[in-house]
Amino acid sequence: MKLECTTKNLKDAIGKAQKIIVKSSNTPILSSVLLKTIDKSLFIRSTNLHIGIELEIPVIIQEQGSFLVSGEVFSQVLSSIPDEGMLSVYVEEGNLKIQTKKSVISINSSGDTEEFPTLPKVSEKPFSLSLESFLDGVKSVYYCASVSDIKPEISSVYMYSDGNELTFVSTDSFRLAEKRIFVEGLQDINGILLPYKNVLELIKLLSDSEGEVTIGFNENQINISLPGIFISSRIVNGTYPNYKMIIPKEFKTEVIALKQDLLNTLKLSTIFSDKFNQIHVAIDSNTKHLIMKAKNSQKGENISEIDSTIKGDSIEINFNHRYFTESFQSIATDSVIIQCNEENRPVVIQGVGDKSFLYLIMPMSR
Amino acid sequence: MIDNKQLWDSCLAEIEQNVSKANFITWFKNTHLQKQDHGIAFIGVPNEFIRDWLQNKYEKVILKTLMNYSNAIRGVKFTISKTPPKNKVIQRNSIQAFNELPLTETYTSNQEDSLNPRYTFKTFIVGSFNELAFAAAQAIINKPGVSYNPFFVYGPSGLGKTHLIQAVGNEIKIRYPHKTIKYISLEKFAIDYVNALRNNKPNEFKQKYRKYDVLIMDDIQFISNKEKTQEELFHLFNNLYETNKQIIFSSDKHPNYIPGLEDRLKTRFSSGMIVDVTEPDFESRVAIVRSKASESGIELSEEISEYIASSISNSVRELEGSLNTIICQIQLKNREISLQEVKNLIKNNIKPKKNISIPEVVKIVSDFYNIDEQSIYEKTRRKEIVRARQMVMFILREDFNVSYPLIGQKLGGKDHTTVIHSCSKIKDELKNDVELTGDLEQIRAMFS
Repeated sequence: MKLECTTKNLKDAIGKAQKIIVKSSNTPILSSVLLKTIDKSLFIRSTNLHIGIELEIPVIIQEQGSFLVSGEVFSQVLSSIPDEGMLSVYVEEGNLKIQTKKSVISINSSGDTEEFPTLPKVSEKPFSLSLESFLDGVKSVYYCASVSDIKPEISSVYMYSDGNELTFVSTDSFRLAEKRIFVEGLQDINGILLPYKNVLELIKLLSDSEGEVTIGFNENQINISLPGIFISSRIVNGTYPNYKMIIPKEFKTEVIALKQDLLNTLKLSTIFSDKFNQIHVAIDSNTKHLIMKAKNSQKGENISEIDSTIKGDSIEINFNHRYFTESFQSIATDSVIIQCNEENRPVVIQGVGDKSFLYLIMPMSR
Repeated sequence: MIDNKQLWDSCLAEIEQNVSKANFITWFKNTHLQKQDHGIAFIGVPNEFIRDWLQNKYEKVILKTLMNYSNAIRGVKFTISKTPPKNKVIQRNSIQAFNELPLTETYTSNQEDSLNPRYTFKTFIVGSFNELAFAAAQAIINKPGVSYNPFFVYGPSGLGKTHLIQAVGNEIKIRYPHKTIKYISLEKFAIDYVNALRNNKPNEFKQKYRKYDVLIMDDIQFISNKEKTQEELFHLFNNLYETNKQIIFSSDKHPNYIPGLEDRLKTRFSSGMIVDVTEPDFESRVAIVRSKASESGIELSEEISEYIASSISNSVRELEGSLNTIICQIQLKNREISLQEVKNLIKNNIKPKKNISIPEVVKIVSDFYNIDEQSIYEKTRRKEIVRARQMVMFILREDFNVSYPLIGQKLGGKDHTTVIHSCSKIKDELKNDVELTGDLEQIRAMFS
């Protein structure tokens, strides 16, 4: 193998590929990155057997070939080389040589390239949407997914089609987020459960790309591809809870307030919340006051009032303030509407005038 | 024959010597031999990455090694199986303050078709006790409304009838999304009908049920003596049947033995496929225990699963109940649990061996035949009493293992040969006489 390419392209690609490799020394194959030339491109492949990525970069090929190299070493080497200019990469005496203007670096092979896994491809008919929309959907909800492995179904982001809307959902059973994204001509998608850990990787891998993503899936595997990037991930085999049943349809109390006001108050409350992150919210429909209170026996307490419009009954509820605050990252509008029923029933938070995002929190019991 | 686990373990040991350690850990960890079927060994692997790899690189090696250990194996197939998470520490501290979203409630049935999504074929265990019912169910899924219509499943309570028929519904729902499915228990159907009559909307009721492509009706035996409901069901049945809509019934009895069921319904129920589910055999019970445990992410030792399976024999539901107790304990204690602990935990769930006195048996049987209890003990040869007396003898011998001389002695000083004759007579008649079989079933039901 012998080729020339821009330092930046190679650096970016290796930087991505090495994000998902297995760092332990038990499995040297999986801590490696495969380099392989096909035609006029260099393909870079890595996998941890849960998710795998293959990146394609344009290069000037002098000699076709392939090489298996330790991902960590290669990326460390590349990060110490300045971004500008071209690099010459070639295999000599079984080692990978990287030649810059100033230095020649030689890295040992980490195994036989034939031993490196292939990425499973699915043959089912794919659908596509803009990467921006896809990431918007995923990022709007993924932080709600359960991090524990006990229930793999809810430790994942659930994607399904509802008419022309691709719907993303996650929940850790204390709160739930749902984001709907309009996709022109969307096919029927019964449900894909993307494992939470792989979603984290996906966001890292895709966030500086753009264009159309093409998504194909079968019951075990999903393929996500963009120009120059191909990702294959396992999906969770299971049934997602029928969460729609728990979204209340009618509300006894509705409060509208400015998002920034709420955020400022919540920030203050964070200082004084107890070890359960608890804050107390009182909605008084007579005096039309929304009051947030946090109390910590060691530090002190704060009581703040927030300007708001209140409809319906008075109610007092306790929340985990973290669950409350986290929803705001997904709400684009300036004002939010908080809708609730009894103190032990789920509360719905949405942006005013924006039905595409819905957030459900369960109040705390004391 | 060595079991699958041993076979696979010894294969792995051999393969391990031939591949590098790193390769072995990467590709062979978390694999297992699921089953052997007609010489094909099914290897369960965690995901597609590993499946593709093993298929391309190691299929020959695996096959060769397996063939060394078992002559029966002619091929290998790789399938992706869910590996349940090992039961690790479950963090429960500081969580008490949080209320959870009632997500578990969402498992209780879908509004429209009332099917419970939890009942699927993935969790359905097939054994000799229900394989016919299972096969018929599969045929129905492939051709709803064509293969076996109506499909009638019967068997004692707690053996998975509801699971089976709901799984059929769920599977049809997935395969044929445009088909409308309705699962309803007979009781609900009856209430619905009464309400429709009360609100003067019988036509709406008719319309409502006739629009379904698949109608699944559970616990049909409760239709006894509900004449109007029977009539309505009769018309509904005819309508659906004529339009080739699939109809599925479950009951705890064969349609011929549902008391108070009109003949025209009996014959219609019998016009399709009637299958029974019986009590699971020991191996199936072990399989059930294993699969239920791994669903909850817990692995039970062989000793324990076998103990549970051997101590609870008659109902899958009771089996599940006991298993839940054990799983709960394991999660609470957060460690493996010993056989002794298991024994203590489920000792209350195990039914004591039935202890029933001879006079009690006599009472139940004479009540059933509506004759005077005393007449059984008397020396009379009236036909109806002879039949009842023979029945008592047969049950005492077959179900409670009482010796022939003792039976004779207790039933008014009869000779043991008389008893032997009675028992063999009933036994012979049972082969041909359906009515007698039905009587016996009903009497036996009264003992439990």
